[in-house]
Amino acid sequence: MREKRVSRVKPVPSAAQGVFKKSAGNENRVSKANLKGKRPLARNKTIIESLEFLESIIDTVREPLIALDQDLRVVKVSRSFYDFFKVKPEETVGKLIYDLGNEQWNIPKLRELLETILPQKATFDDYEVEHKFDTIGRRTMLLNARQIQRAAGKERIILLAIEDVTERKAIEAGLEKTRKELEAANKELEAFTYSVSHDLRAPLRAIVGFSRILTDEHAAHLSPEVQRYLNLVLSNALQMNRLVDDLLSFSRFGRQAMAKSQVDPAVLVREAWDLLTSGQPERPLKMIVGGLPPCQGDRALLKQVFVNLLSNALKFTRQRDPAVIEVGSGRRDGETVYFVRDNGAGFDMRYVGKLFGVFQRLHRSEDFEGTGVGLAIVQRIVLRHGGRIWAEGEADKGATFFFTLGGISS
Amino acid sequence: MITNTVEILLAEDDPNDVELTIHALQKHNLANRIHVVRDGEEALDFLLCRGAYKDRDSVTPKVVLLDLKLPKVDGLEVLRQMRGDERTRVMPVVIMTSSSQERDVVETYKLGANSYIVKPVDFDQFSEAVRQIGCYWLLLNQPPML
Repeated sequence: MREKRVSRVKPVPSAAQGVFKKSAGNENRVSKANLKGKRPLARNKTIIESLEFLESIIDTVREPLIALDQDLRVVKVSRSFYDFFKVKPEETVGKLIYDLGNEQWNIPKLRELLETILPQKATFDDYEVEHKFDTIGRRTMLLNARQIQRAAGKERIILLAIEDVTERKAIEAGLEKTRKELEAANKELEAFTYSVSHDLRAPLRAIVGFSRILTDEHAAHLSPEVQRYLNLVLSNALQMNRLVDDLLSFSRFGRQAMAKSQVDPAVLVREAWDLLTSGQPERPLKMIVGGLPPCQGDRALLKQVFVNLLSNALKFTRQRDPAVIEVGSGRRDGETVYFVRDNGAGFDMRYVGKLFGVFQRLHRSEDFEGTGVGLAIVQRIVLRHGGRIWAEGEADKGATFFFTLGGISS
Repeated sequence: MITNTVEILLAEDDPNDVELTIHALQKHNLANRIHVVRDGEEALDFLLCRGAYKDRDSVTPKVVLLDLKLPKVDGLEVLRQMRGDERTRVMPVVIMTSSSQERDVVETYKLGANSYIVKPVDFDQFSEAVRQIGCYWLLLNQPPML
């Protein structure tokens, strides 16, 4: 079948001067198997076709390729070699490789490869050489070499493929630099978080502690007005502590490593619901859970999504009788869309853009307590899963939060 | 300096935390034999009877309350050196810190801390935490004989 393949390759005109000229009378290894039992004329034809085939391969290969004889003289050079190193055929074939182009190939590392390493190893991959060429400037190259022992005689041929990795190296160096910068920025962020968690808490503890000692142990000496002020100091310090806590957890949910697995949202919803409602006073409450197809995600993070959304729903339906909270899913553009809906205080769609911002609140803290971090955390987790989140609402009617988790779920 | 009957060694640099801790201990009648050191070096001097404490009677406290963020030598290093010295290798150490950072927690347990407490900001909770620590380590726990 091999002849058939050979005959389909269009002969390359420049092939005549070509490679393996010396061995044209001999049988080379590639074509040997095909020549058995053929008449001389057919044999010659097959040899020529095989040579043409080989030459066309050499000239087609994109990376510069050079064939040397055992004295390291150039036997054949690929067209890409001429193009790349800007040399002409008459300057190369028959010359010692080190003499090529103003001795620009007389590189110590290349000499080491050709004269020391290759005779021992016969093949060599990805041997990195950096060199400044007169014609094309400083280049980093990966050399792949093969030493081919001919069947007849003791001659050997060395094939040397040259891959120019200068640009790739530059890009890699750029990426590495960016990676290092990012790492440094992350470290800084972590140090900042650490410092916030440590340093902001200590003064808060002092404010709360001493105020509490005053109100608890010295109440007899304090007028009702002073006690009221002290309580305001206390509640504000505690609120600031919640802000610090929430800011830290927001940062943690953004950085925490993700462990993805198959997750059943129905289970997460049940766990979140139990967590939020157990031990709470009874209230008129209706919970509807629809079909929730499984998904790929980080279990702990996704549970936090449901905890935050359901906790919001419970909070904003506090004045409803009954409060109706619905969790379900639908399909849109081949994607599963999960939703959490309530009939609570809702929000004005004009401010929907602020909904997911850190410390952004659409309700007065006298009406609904909170720090404005819960939905920001939800958004962060959803985005980390490659999903999207959005909301629809109407003031005093209720709100629905929709999210996807990226990927086409079944 | 009477240090031979110290039951609690408090290593804490924040004067407010020192005062609040002592206040909470007093409230529960647990503060009679507490000694305060204000940085990691002083903590090690005390524990290993060197520097200003070289003449200290080497009776050891029943528990060390150790803040992690201490001047000069930080809490982790104090713990590391304690665990490297025969005299303090098994002495109960309770880490009391503002931080609940996971890496701190793991790191301190690896170094041989006996407990890790995040100091609550709310004083009621703080006071209760200190009471429980005092009761447990001073009254309930049987310390190793050193």
